[in-house]
Amino acid sequence: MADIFVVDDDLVLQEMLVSRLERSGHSANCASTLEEGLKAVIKGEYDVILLDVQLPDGNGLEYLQRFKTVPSAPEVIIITGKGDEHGAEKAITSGAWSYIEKPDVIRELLLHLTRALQYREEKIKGYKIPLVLKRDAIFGNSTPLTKCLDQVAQAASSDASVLITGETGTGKELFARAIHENSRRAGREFITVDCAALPETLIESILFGHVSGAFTGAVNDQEGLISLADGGTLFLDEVGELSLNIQKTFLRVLQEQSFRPVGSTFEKQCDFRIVAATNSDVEKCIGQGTFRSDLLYRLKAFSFTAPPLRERKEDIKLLATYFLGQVCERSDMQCKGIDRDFVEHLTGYNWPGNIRELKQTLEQVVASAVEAPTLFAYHLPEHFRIRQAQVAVQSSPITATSSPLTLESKRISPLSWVDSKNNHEQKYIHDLMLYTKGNVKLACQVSQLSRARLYQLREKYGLIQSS
Amino acid sequence: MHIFFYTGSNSKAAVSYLKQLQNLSVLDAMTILHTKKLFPSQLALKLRSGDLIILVAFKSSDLDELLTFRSEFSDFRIILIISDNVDSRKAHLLHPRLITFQEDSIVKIESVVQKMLNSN
Repeated sequence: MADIFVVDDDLVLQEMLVSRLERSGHSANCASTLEEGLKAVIKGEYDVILLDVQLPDGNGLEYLQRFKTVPSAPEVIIITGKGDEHGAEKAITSGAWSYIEKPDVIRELLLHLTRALQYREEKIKGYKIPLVLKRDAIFGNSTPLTKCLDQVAQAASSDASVLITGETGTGKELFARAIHENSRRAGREFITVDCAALPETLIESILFGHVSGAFTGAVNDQEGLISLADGGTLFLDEVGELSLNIQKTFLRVLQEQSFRPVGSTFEKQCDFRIVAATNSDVEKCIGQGTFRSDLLYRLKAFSFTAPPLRERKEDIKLLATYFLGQVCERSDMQCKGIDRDFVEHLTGYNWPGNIRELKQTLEQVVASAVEAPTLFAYHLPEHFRIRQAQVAVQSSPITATSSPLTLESKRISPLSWVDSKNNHEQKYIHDLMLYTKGNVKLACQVSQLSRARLYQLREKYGLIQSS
Repeated sequence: MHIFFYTGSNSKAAVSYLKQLQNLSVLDAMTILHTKKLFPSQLALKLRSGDLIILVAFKSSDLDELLTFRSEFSDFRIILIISDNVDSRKAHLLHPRLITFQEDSIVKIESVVQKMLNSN
């Protein structure tokens, strides 16, 4: 597949590396000195050089540029017996692809090599990073999102496989679609495979398709998702859920770019790009033996993490406005306004379920406040308001332990529940009538109170005159 | 995750398919959205992002109608049941989690819904 050159004076390691590379389908040659290595590399056509640092005739880092500038312009991976920060920095700033310590080289080599080769392939094809990114439903301007969109743009400019990690509900599928929409494959299909939803008994026929008679009930030939993704992108959602058996089959498909429909005797060629997503810790799954490391290396030539919503709270207002517009439009309602306290409550919350939870909350709010033209914090589910009230209490001087008022405050008895509730009720009715400029019909709509109950409360707190 | 069912057609085939689905214990709590009244409707207000909608399109015109709601469907998980007469490539524009055919065993849907519920 690729031509690799190893420059290392450790003959045992040389042999191990060559054997590992050849088993992976590459061809490899080696030299034990810088001079010998440089001569061979100038003459030959190499994709990647594995270069040791301490060599009998000098320091590999000093020769890095000379290796990189030979006619085949190979990528250089530094392998060193004893890594140090200074050496690593020097290697990277001199243009090395990566820097691996020898104890880890056998384990990590293929990952570094796969990435370097994919990068090289794209460099040769000369893909360009899109200047303006199509981002459809990805809203926000926060720094974490902007960084993530930079990664999307980079990924879109190449054809390398991508692994998107991130908590559930962070919009990994949207990022995957954005990669596809901005890539050279945008004109073809974006096919989603929900690895968490497909049972093992079905997944092969769904992915690879089947021919008629392949199994009971297979009346006609059926095209699989891989075939549909030809020329486009295959998105493996929740890839961590794939069984080991399917992982093995899928790895072969990725290596060969061909597959065999269930029941068929013929292989079909297919050109598709892989974007995968997971919320699991795949490295941990590898440790537990539930995920194949070689498949991970194939999938994560490029990887990034979708940021959780709690790290991009400045985007919440924009997201909430967009989602509300979307929900109101699909429900054929007038778009609702949002009060400042509504947004404050949203931003005060930590959103463990991320953007999906935000959407679900807004859907719930719209469903329960159909008539309300403006949404107030009052319309939010109780746990938001309780949390916000708790935060307010915690930050007030009465309970702040660092406050000089603490001792004094401890002597002040809190109000009774009834008095406290009455105070809040009075303030709410006052604010409500102020907001609706005394319009009782509107006040009933906003508060969801009946006309009679509203009158009762206004009378109770002497707010009939004042409003 | 809540489960909804929608078809744009009141055809005998669609009604009979729905009856088969209703016999599956995994779909006990399925809400049936009114034909021709997907969005907006009072029932559709129950939909939450990430919910599952089972859609039936046994005619090309049914699929075309569903495709007009393509962007609205993007927040939900879709299982799409089509007949042989419907273009399955076109059906993928809805980004369904599963496309299955009218003639296929209904057990396929049961196992996928069960897995979705388990992983939810």
